[in-house]
Amino acid sequence: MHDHARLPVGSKVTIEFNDGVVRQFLIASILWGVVGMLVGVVIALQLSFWQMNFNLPWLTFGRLRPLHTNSAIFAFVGNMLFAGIYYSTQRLVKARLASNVLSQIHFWGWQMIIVAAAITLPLGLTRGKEYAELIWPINIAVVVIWVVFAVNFFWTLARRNEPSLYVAIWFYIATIVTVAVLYIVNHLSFPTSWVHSYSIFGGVQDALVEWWYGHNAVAFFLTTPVLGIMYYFVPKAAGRPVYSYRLSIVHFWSLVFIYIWAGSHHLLNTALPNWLQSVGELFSLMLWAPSWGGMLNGLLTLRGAWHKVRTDPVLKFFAAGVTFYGMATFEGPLLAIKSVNALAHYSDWIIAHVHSGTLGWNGFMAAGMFYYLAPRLWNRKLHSTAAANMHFWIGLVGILLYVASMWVSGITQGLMLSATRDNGTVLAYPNFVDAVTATKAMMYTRAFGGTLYLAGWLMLVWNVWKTAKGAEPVNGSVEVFIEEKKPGMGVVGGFFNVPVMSCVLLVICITGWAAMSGVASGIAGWLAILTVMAAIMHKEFMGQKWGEWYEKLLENSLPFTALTILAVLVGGMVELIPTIIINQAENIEGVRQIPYTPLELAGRDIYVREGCYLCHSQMIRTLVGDVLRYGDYSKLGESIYDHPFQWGSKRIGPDLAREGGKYPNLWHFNHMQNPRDVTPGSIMPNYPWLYTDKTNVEILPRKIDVMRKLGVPYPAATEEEIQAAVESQEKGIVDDLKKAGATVEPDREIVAVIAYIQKLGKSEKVQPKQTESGMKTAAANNVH
Amino acid sequence: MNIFNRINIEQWQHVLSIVSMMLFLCTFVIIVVCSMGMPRTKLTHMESLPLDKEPTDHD
Repeated sequence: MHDHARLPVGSKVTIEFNDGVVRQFLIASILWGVVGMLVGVVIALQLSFWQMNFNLPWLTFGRLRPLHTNSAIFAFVGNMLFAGIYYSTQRLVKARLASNVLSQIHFWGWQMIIVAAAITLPLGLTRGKEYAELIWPINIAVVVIWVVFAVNFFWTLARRNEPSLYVAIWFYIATIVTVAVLYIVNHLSFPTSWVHSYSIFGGVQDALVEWWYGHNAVAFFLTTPVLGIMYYFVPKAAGRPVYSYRLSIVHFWSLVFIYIWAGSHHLLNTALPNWLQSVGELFSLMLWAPSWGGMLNGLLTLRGAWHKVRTDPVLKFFAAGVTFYGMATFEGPLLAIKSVNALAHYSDWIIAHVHSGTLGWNGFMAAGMFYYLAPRLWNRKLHSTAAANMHFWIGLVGILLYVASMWVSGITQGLMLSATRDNGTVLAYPNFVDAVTATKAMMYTRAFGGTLYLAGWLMLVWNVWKTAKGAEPVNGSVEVFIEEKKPGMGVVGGFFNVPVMSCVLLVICITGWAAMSGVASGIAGWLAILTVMAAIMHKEFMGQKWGEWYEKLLENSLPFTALTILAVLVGGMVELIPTIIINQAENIEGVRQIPYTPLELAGRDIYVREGCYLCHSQMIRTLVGDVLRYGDYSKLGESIYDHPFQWGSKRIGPDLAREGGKYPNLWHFNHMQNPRDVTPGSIMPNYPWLYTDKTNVEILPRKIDVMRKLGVPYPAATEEEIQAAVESQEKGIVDDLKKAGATVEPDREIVAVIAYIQKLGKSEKVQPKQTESGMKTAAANNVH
Repeated sequence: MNIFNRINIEQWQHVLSIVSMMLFLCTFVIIVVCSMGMPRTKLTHMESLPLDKEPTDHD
């Protein structure tokens, strides 16, 4: 219990905040921001000059790109949001953080996780899922540290001296519970060693879970906590209350409820069941309203303070950051419209979109917050306001160059790769590399824009350093009067009340009315009308008391958290559970993937290790351009044994779903050695180590055993049989290469990679299982 | 009598799209009603929570 728990009601105490941990997270965020942005500039240069891969495994694009995304998301923004949450929560609830020990475990644990990620990712230790690459021991550490954070946060709420929970706290609660759910579900894996595991989901299941997680990582890690920060720091910096508290309430619940459904828009025009694509598209469009409601609420908070924006760098960063939030959240739903997505998906337009979010929204909100905090945490005026203003303009120009060049590049790629001639029967640009060459100038511009943004950030590093150097770190404090604790609402009270129960009943009745027919539908319709009438009558009868339920909820974190979890879980379960059932049934669209041989499996793991999925998709969409270029569109059954799935999200190179048998072994052998030998103009790195490093065959029995547990139909085989199968297939490939004039030892990794690539697209036709209704129809047809 | 169905549901999963819409609609209405019904005194108190001054606030 809290230190002053035994003090009499009405007595006054001074509470000193734990701002030490805020300072730690602030410094960590600033420094990891440099690392994340620097790696970003390096990989941007690699796409301009392939030589910058340096023929070194740990410096190739495929290994550095996850390092860039993970350091930007979890290290830079992660540390920033912890700093913002801890600073604002203590002040909003008028209580010191519950535990110094937990705060330190949280800080150091998170930094150790980041260091572990920075070591393992360049080594090629990955789970092969975007933004979820970290290996399973690190995943467990993330969950443990997140729980420490949650305990520290909710414990602080329990000790609070301010009964009401300000809207920022709601956003933090939503972040904590939702990220926990998302992270755990998407990281469920079966280990094969201390550094490797297979996702328990495969194919379409894995794709849906991944993008349910991926999209909501953006929503609940990069957006909701930063919105909480916006709702605290913008009024604070402007010296004015939030424009509309009512709007913030609608903003919160709408956003939390809608966001969780929208993940499937990452899989439009793919093999994902159509109803899920429609749900993703529809809910993404609905996101326009709450997102813009939030943005306007943030910007209009500056009403009457716009003159300060001209001179105050903090407000400048906040105003631009919130504007970028509006731009990114306008663009997101736009990209989720199927026809727009057909053009933009797999192209640089998506890169523009995510960077207007991370650089503009997250980066500028972080900069504004740090410039606000530094003078307060070290009790000294900011060293240079002019430098902070300069940072703003350099950063802004950097973002605009970055985003505009990626827009142009993305639309160019989309148009060129889908363009046809001769009445849509022939591709206008059959050579994929034409689109790469056409966008070269945009790659240079992007690298320049990113460098400018990094330069601006380095000015912040210098400015904060100069502010803090030699200054005395100070902790904030507040005087509070001890108040009598009101009785809590309890979780049950949060659910079992007339408004919530009428809502549940209404959903059931309207669904029944729409989904059923005849008398049942009529009854459901009338029940829906009666429910609405009863709710209105109850509200009229109860008057002001009707809304008291909600007011109580605002002062009770437990039922509030439970309702937030419910809002999030409903969306997740409704989307995920049917798909898991579908995949286990016979719904594979008439084709079933042939499981990989042991050598092919080893090759696939090398493919995943090198991050090939970051440039090559394995999903031919139901679009003319895709089918003409790559072959028949991909079916559900063609990737059911892929743990993890490799559908990809970006085509820097061509799709590989049907690559098997397209080229001879020699082509792949030469291609991986130097892609430009067979594809002039290619920007793919060389992979010389594949020709010297040996394939890890010893681990294959364990991997096959795990695959078998995951449902892949591998026949029983001894270790010797697996070894013999590997050697036999290696010999076949090496002999073929020798005939074509190339020599390599059979146990080298390149042989396994060739085996894997030549398997891509190989599947067997399956007769659809006759269902009861199908048999009845067939019987009826026979009768007639 | 499928012609009287409002929405043709070929697979049972399709009903989930309707459930999701209805859920949101109800949540939205209930939240709008609750937020509009909040007393002005409560709103003023909530709005002012971030605005407490501290000794280290530099204007």
